[in-house]
Amino acid sequence: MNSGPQNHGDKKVDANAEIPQDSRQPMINSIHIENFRCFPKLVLKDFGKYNIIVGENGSGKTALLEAIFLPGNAADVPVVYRNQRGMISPGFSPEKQAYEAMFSDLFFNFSTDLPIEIKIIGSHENLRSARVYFKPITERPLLPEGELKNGRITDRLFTLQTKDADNKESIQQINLKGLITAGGEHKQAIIGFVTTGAAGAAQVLAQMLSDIRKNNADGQIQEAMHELFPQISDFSTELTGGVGEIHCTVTGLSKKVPVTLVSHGINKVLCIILFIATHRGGVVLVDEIDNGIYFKAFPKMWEAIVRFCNDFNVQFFASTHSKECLDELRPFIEKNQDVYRLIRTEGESGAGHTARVFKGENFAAALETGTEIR
Amino acid sequence: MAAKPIILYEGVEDKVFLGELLKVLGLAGKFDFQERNGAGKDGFEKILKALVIPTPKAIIIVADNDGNPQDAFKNIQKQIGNAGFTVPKKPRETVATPNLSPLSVLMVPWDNDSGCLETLCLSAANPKYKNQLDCADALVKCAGANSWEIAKKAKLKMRGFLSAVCKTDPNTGLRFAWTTDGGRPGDIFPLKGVAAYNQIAEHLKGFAI
Repeated sequence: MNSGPQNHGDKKVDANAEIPQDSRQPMINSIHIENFRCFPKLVLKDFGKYNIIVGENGSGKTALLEAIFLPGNAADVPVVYRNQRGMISPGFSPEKQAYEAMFSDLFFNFSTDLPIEIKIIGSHENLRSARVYFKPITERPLLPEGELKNGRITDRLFTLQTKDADNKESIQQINLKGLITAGGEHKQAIIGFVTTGAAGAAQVLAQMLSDIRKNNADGQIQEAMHELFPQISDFSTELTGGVGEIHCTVTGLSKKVPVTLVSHGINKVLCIILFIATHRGGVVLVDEIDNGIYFKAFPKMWEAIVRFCNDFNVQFFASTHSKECLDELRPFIEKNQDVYRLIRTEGESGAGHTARVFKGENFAAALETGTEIR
Repeated sequence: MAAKPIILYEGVEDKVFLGELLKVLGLAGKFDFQERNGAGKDGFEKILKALVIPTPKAIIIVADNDGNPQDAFKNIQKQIGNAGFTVPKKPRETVATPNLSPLSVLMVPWDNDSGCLETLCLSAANPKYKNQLDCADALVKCAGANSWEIAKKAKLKMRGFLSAVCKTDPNTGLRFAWTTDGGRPGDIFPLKGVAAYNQIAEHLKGFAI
């Protein structure tokens, strides 16, 4: 995840206006996935600038977002995924079974004998591939103190091998102590992943806003958030016990309060907007975009997202179950059908899952006719 | 692919009629209907574009022939092609399109017969309402509508007929012809064992397997 500061002007862009030609080019055009999560093999092509992922529970929506996020990120991304999914992440152990269990759920059918292969094809910045596998340990590791004997210590290490558009390769491994060892050149992708967990990462968001404010570039964010939620204004990073957290002014309250205290939904929208504003020219992924957001806020939320994505040239992927959320996106799709796509994940637990990409024209028609597509 | 075939239709009356007919055939619940009522004769293209996404087991388009069966079918063919489906060459032909649902078009009252749902139903009205039917015929004649296009004439006749039959609510439309709610007779157009509907019933049965 790249969350460095991004400078931008405060020019307001009409969300319904024609999208500039250079902003229409999607950053990721297609993805090839093998042996990852619920997907034994999946090829998805023809992504748009805005991609909405739907599908039943357990059909692979989050897994697809994870697949897009994985290449070009650090080897500890499986731990990040576990946290995002609310799974227990026990401390690292060199014991073979415990060590491999930390990663085996990434592999289709827990089959760690085959590697995970993910390739994303798009514009230069986002052309990259990843190979995830367990690499046998060739040198005998130092035995930890205690009871573990040779046969019980893992004999292979979790390995993430990535290659970017310049053919630069990196190999990262998680060692027996849970630390990343890296070789080669690892160039991070400009991809941000907003999940419920990420929305809760107060310090990350506080840093994002702080960086933006240092560049006096927070005007557009302040304006968009106030337009969405008129009762709040003046977002800023404040320290509480030395820890940064985003605060805001709430009408009727005498002092600023943490945004998370005001509303989970408001914090989520702020999180999405901050991620877009700090991933210029990149990709932002949002899991369960509707989660925690009041339905009347959807029209303005979409307007803000479209405006920011256009302004910061960000490609957007979001999953949702909400019909109301989808319906409120319809006017935007109808205006610029060629930049929107619907991605539908399908499959039943246990069997191999799949997904299909549909054009904006079909997406808009489904929403207009009330056809069930979720 | 969804487990059921889906029926697309022009107006809510078609949905009600087909729903009642499917009940009589013991096929209630074996079909889905398009979500929003009334595609109208030009509204199928949009629904077909939407049905590229959930891909039902099969798609059955039910449309009226009105005064010109050839033109009416051509209009449906055009919409099917625009939506990206293989175009059937004739009514009731089931065509396949890679990655999409098989599709068939059922023209009402029948393949090359002029008319509409009203024409079909009026031809099979309950004999106990013969007097009211005769009165409706007289209305058409008296109103100078005999030279109207067949479907329009049938709609006029249907309005007069239903008003005459439904004393509790002379505003009753065809969609309420099969209900006894509000004191309506409910038996105006019997469906069981009526020859006029056999062909349609047989076609639908073929998709319910």
